Amino acid sequence: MIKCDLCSKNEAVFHLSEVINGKSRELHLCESCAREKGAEQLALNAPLIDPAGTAAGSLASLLAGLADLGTKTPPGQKPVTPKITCSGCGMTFAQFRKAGRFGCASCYGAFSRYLTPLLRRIHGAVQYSGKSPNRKAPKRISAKERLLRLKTELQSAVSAEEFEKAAALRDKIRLLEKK
Amino acid sequence: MKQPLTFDSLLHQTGEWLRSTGPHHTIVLSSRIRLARNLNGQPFPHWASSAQRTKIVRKVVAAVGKSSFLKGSLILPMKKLSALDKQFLVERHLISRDFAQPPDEKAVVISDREIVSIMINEEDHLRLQVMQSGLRLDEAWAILQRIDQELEKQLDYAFRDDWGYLTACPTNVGTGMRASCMLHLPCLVMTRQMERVLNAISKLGMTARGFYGEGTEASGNFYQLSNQVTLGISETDTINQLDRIIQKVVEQEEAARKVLLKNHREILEDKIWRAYGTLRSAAQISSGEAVKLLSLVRLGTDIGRIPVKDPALMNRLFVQIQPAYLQKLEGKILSPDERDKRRAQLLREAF
Repeated sequence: MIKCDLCSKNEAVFHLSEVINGKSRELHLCESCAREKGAEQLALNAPLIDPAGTAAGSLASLLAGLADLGTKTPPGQKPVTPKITCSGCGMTFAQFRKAGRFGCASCYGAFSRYLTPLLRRIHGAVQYSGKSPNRKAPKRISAKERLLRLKTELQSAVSAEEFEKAAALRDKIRLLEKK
Repeated sequence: MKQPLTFDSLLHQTGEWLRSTGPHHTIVLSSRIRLARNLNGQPFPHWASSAQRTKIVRKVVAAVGKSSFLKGSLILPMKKLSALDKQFLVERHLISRDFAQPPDEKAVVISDREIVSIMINEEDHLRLQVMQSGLRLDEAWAILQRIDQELEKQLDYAFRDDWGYLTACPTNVGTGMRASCMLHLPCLVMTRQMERVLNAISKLGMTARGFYGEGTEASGNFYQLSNQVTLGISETDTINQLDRIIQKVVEQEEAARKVLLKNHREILEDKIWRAYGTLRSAAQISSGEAVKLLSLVRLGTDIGRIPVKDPALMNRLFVQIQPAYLQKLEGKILSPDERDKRRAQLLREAF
């Protein structure tokens, strides 16, 4: 959840951004602050300034006084592609990167460590808020499926360098495979 | 007795979303909400083998068969449809343009009055959509929730507590929901305010598309406004936010209409009557021209200049002048020239 940049209390539901001289600035506001600041009205009624169309004047004034709302990615940092493969479907992280789409639902677990920044960039948030499937009883999963899940978890534990967790997972997998 | 839904019956009926009812229906043509859902333990359609995709279709169709809401729905395997049939469904907004492309281990479920459609093996295993006429996102959401709840009893949906419903594309993860409204905004376009409005909309986390969704141009002054973010904001908050923004845009279009009527009445009426005249008398007309003129006549009926007995007609025509509809109507493939003549005939008969 992104907190409101003004009150720092409520969850931000308005995500404003603008680009001035190649620098992007973001402003996240909760509903009440947005209403108070008239962000909705402001954005919709802003005068047409230029064809590049930023309604910048009004937004800039809204942003004024709010220090350092720039992007958090350090400049010049080279993106590295970690070598992970989803054991659910065989998709590698590099393949995901290229296609922009996951291979199966297990990929989220396998690549989880690297997804947070991506999701934040896309959605401005990393924590789900909404309804959940209303499941009567936890579904019994087959031994094969369980093994698959454990292996996926193991892989992400190893890549996250959580070796204690990885060792525990490895033992569980061995136990299951013996059966 | 209600007739069971068949493919051909679609040709002779009007989809619920075109009926010109509901709040703000003159400006808000329709409301639509779609949910992306996937199954655990199955590769996503683009990553699955043909056998796996077939299996997914079977699983979902079986679940649909157990839903009481979807009882009597039409289930169409894409394999069995001609290119023309597929195009016809695209024109009716029952399937996406991507869905009409190969591979064809896909199926679409269409409910009574075309309120619900479920695409199986589009980008995600399931794409559930509900369409309503006018600004009725709440109703659309209520229907959709009911269907989703029925299906989740049968299907093992991929879901995580931290990221919500898992989707093939990370841009949909979370609620998997895209809520949108189709707006007819001729006067905002005429007064050159669209750019400003679209800019404002994007700043509020919403996005605008054309009549046929992603990657299509805005034709006939129609704009589809929808939410962009699916993670971190609940379904109802998204819907409420979009609803508020749509109402603002509606107010602005209404204001633009008033200004034009006050300051440029003759010019506006002249445009509308000329468009009406052309549609009533053309011997051949392209779909591009027809859409442009229909938009003006639709505006003319909204502001009471052109009397129309059946208000839904003005919505229906936008779909009926499309190439596949005309060809289905004739029951054969038509060349572009033949279509332009058939289209002109249909329009002459309508007015």
